[in-house]
Amino acid sequence: MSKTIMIIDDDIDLVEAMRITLESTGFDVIDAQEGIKGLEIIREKYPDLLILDVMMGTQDEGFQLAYTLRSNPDTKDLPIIMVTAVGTQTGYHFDPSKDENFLPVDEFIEKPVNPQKLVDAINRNLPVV
Amino acid sequence: MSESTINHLSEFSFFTPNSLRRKLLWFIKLRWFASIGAFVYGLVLSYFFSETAQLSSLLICASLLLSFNIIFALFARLNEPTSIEREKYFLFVQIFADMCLLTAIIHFSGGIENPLYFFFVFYIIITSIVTDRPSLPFIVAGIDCVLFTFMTIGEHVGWIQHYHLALISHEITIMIFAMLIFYTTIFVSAYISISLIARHRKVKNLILEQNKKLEESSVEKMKFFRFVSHELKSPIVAIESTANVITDVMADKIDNKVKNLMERIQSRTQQMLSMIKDLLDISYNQLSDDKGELVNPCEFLKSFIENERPLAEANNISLTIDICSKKANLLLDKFKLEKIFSNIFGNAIRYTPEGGTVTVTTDIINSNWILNITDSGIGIALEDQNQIFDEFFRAKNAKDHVSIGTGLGLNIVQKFVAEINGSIEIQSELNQGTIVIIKVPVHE
Repeated sequence: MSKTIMIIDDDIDLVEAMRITLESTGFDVIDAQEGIKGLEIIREKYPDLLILDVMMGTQDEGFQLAYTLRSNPDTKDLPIIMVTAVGTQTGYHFDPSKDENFLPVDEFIEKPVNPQKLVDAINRNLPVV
Repeated sequence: MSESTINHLSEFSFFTPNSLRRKLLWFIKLRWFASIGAFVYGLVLSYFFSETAQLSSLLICASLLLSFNIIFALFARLNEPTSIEREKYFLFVQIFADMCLLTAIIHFSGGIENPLYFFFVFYIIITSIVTDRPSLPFIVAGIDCVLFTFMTIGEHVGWIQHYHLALISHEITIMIFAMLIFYTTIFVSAYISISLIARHRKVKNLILEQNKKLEESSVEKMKFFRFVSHELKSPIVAIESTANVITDVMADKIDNKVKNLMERIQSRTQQMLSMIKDLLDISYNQLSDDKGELVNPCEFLKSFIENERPLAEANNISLTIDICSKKANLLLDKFKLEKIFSNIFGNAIRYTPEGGTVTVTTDIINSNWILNITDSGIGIALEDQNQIFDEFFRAKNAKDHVSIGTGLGLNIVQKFVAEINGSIEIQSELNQGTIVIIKVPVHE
């Protein structure tokens, strides 16, 4: 059975680009444009991995959502890849290897999305069955 | 700046006919008091020194002063201030008339015996307040001297008659008179100076206030600039991500012509993205108040170079690294250090053809931490070297070698190096390579 990847991003064109990339690689893709809706779908469909935009409606909606997921026993093991352009906005590059206690996600990918890097990151973070 | 504040400022400007006229009106106002003073002076002198005082002559002088002032006041009322030059002549005529009358008053009340000559100082003070030309007070001082010398010598050699201030028997009265003249001189000087300073303080406060407003509006503009840059970025990110999907994921569905066109799209979006990224770097730096995280440059460079090593290897460039053999007691702003180093190191890699070399060394010489990045790259033509720090400048050979670039990198580097109190020097020869040396003082 193919794995289901959830994408939460408010930029529908980015969602579309990622969807085509992932579907062509054999994943099932579900998506949401904002956090609350995304959370509902996650609780309903239990995706295997979440791709999350760091900034949606507010400056840190993505982070808030990640914290919510991590603090819930049902979703705390859901791998999260955060897609971010923050690096180019603040000059601050997130480094999960150093900030793992602080940042509740498994990996960061910089926008614009490189399809190969995205697929590699997903394969790295999918739980081994 | 609003229109009202501009008007407000010009009211205090020293360089408009209106502002000069306002000072001249103040000067005329002072002269009404001086005229009254001159009458009182004549009467007082004739009361105390009745044997020697030239009452009628002194009263004529006082009347002349009053008459002149009436003429000046009428002239000021009937003539609008039109030019600075005209106002200056108007001032000069008034001062000259005053000085001649003062000389006459002194002459009729004792000449050099009379300490009233202190009053000449007022004209020098007033001239220096009222005009913006530094030579004018000296000209007035020169005329003072000529008039006073002419009167003194003239009286001495007998060209004009010398009138004594008082008989020797009035010693005490003379002393009191001299003291009164002295007090008047210093208090009038104080009054004139205070009027001037108060005016200057008002202008200074106004300028400080304006400055604050300008700073605030500059921050607002920078925030707007940052917002716009950020908003520009989102569509570009989406375009490039989409283009990436077409060229990578759908490569088998497009022919070579489409692929070539897609690559052009990608190249231009990358160019735009890196420009926006540079603009965001600039705005981030200008908007951040805090000093930022401080890091040891050695540790930072080591990890940075290790991260970038694959890029150098992909281009078959051999890296020689010799850093941090000497311990530097130095912490630098992480954000700035990263921008400086990634730009310089990035340039060295980008502009060095395959098979070339890039060397990074650090040293400490004379309390300066010295970072040296040397490459065997395309170099910078001599005629381009004085422009390489200019915003958006890219040398022709750089464009030929790497089409994408914003021309902002070295400009940002130069700003950031200055902000960490460092200096940057670039030595380069076309087709031979480039040496970039950055020096930052080490705090012991």
